[in-house]
Parts: sequence; structure tokens; C-alpha cells
Amino acid sequence: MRELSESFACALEGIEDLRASSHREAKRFLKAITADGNASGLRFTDQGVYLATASGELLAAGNKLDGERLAKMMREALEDFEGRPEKERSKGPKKVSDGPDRYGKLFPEDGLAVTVFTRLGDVEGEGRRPRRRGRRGADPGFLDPRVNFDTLWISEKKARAMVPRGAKAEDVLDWSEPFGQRLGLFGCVGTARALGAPYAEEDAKELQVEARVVGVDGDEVRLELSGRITLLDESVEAVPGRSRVPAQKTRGVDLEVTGRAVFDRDARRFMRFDVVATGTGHGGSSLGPSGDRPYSVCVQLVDPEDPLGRTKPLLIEHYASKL
Amino acid sequence: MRRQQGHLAARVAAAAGLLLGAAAAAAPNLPEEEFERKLRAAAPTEAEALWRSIAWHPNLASGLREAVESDRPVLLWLMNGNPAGFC
Repeated sequence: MRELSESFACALEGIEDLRASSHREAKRFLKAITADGNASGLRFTDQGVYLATASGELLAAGNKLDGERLAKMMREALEDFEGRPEKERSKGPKKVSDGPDRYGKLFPEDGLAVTVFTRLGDVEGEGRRPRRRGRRGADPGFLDPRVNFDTLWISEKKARAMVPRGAKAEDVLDWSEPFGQRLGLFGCVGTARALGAPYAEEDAKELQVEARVVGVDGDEVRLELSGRITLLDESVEAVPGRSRVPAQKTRGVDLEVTGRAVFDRDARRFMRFDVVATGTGHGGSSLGPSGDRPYSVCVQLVDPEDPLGRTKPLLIEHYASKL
Repeated sequence: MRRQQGHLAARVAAAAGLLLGAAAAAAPNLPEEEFERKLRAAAPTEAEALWRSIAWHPNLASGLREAVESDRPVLLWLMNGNPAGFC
């Protein structure tokens, strides 16, 4: 898949971001490739994977793709593309300007930026059975709907305040705010493609994360995290701003939090930040599953050199003003 | 005498408590090996993270530019939210 992808210019985009964008070439491209509906011909959503020339001529498109089907589609589209005269292939915008990057400047270079990976179901347990193989022998690996990647940002100022200068062994630090709250209200929303409405503060039945200093070696402060996140959202409102999205069902998580962190007092940044939250999750939108299922969250530092590591948190607009 | 014994016992208990407390504070409640096991179980598997091995442009504008400059077709993954941040 990776080798095949190198023959393409691969891009990720959020529909809402693209619709709100003022980028002329990108919007023209989107209009061209969705002229006949979305990747599956549907009219109510533009979600999907599209393969197209830079001028917006559609080569192939699909939705609900597994790895094998996507690879087949990519091979066929590439063959189609390469069979076209160079003059036709090179049609497209002469110059493409930079896309707007509303939140990119907020990336906390010296703060705390972590990946939040959520999974509905244990690796070995219920919810982790291989997906039913389709007629074409579907590979479940590429687009697994039970898992979700997101990011979480905390500003340099707030991240540094999480470990006071004089912190010593045995100190217990309250990390419920901002870390615990952001992880709970904004990071635990991805119950396997349930849609991205944050939890409200009143949904937090218990939301406590503390860090105990277990050692100080020179500038290195080692911490152990523990806590509990219990959320319950009983509202049945439609997802804000997405009137076509079915109403939310009751949703919630009950998670025990544990973790390890290392803060370098000289560099004034976290060198390690591994957090695991495990327990149960349920509900979401009517597009998601209901009933209690094992639910896990894995938090780790992002690689700032990787473009994916710099992806804005899905719900950043809810806390950007107090990052 | 009994009172003195009581004081002594309390002091011994307090000292022991301090020692126990210091030892407990230095050692994590969850042993490192146990935490590592939990971390490995919760972290994405190779298959779950397969799509992240692709060199994605973080937005369409950037991908379009590369397509134009390198004579390659575009592969656009369009989702509610950003697929990299929510899939």
C-alpha cells in the first residue's frame, strides 16, 4: 500500500474545513470530483476516497474501502492516468497557493501535543473480531471503523505549569485540568466513528487525573499518572452544525487512567507522556454501536516532524481560546 | 510505664510509616512491566495504523500542488472531521 501510494499525491481533508475554506483551486477540485455525488454516488455526504487528475477529472472513487479494494482501485486509476497523453495529464491549475491553516499556528511546539488513539473493543476480546470478509476478500486493516486517531494540544504555558519548578518525590499534582478534562470531554468522543460532538462539563460524573512524582534525577522528574474518567451524555440533540446527522444516542465512558510521564526541567518539556485509559464505552450517534463495549484510549507524544503528528485536534475550536 | 510503651510503639509505628511511605512514594503503584503491558495492548496495532504509513499531505491544497508539480494523480481522503484527526 505504501509503495503504491507513492505514485499519488495523497491528501487528507476534512469536509467542514474544505467547505469553509476560501482556497479557490481546492474548492474547484472538490466541485469537479463530487459533481455526480460522493465517492459512492451519494448526495448527502462527500465522504470517501477520490482518485483524480489535478484538474479534477475523476479516475475512481469509493467509500467503505478496505485495504485490498483500495489498492485495486489505486492500481486501476494509475493505469488509467498513465495511459493518458501527457498534455491531458498536466492539465490543472498552473499554480496552487497555500491552503489556509487556521489552527496550524497554534501547534504547541514547546507545549504538550499528543496522539489520542481510541479503540472500541479489546485486541483479543469482543469487538476485535476480524471484520467479515467481503465478496472480494476484504482486508480489514485499512479503514477499521472501531478505532480512531485524534490529537490533543496543551499550550507551552499550561504544560509547563503541570510540573512546578520545586516538584519533589511524593508530591501529588492535580492534572484534572487541563489534561484530564481535555482528554475526557474532547478526546473520548470517538466511539468508533460516532460523530465528533464534545461532552459537556456537566456530563463529567467523575473526571480526575493526578500525577505523583515518583522520582527526581537531576533535571528529570518522573511521574506516575492515575485517575478516573466517567462521562455520561443523555442528551438526544443532533450534532451541532450537522443537521443531516442523526440525533445522538446516550453515550458515555467509564475509564481507569494510568500513565507515565517524564518532564525535563532544563528543557522545560515532557520527554515522555504515555497514558492508558481502559474500561467501557457505549453509545454515540445512531451511526455508531450501542451497548457496553471494552473501550481503550492510548495517549502518546506526537512526532512533530510527521505531518500527521501536527494534525489539529478534531474539536480544537472548543478550546483553542484557552489552549 | 504503659504510657511510655505506648509512646514508643507509636514512635516505632510512625517511623515505620515514614519508611514505608518513602518507599511507596519512590515506587510506582503500578509496576513498570505491568504498565508497559497495558500500553502495548492499548496502542495501535500495525494493521490499525497502516494508513498512517502513507506520506499524507495534511490538506488538499498541499496535495494538489504536489500533483501539479510531480505529474501525479491525487488521492484525496475526505471525511467528516479530518481523517488524520478523526476517522
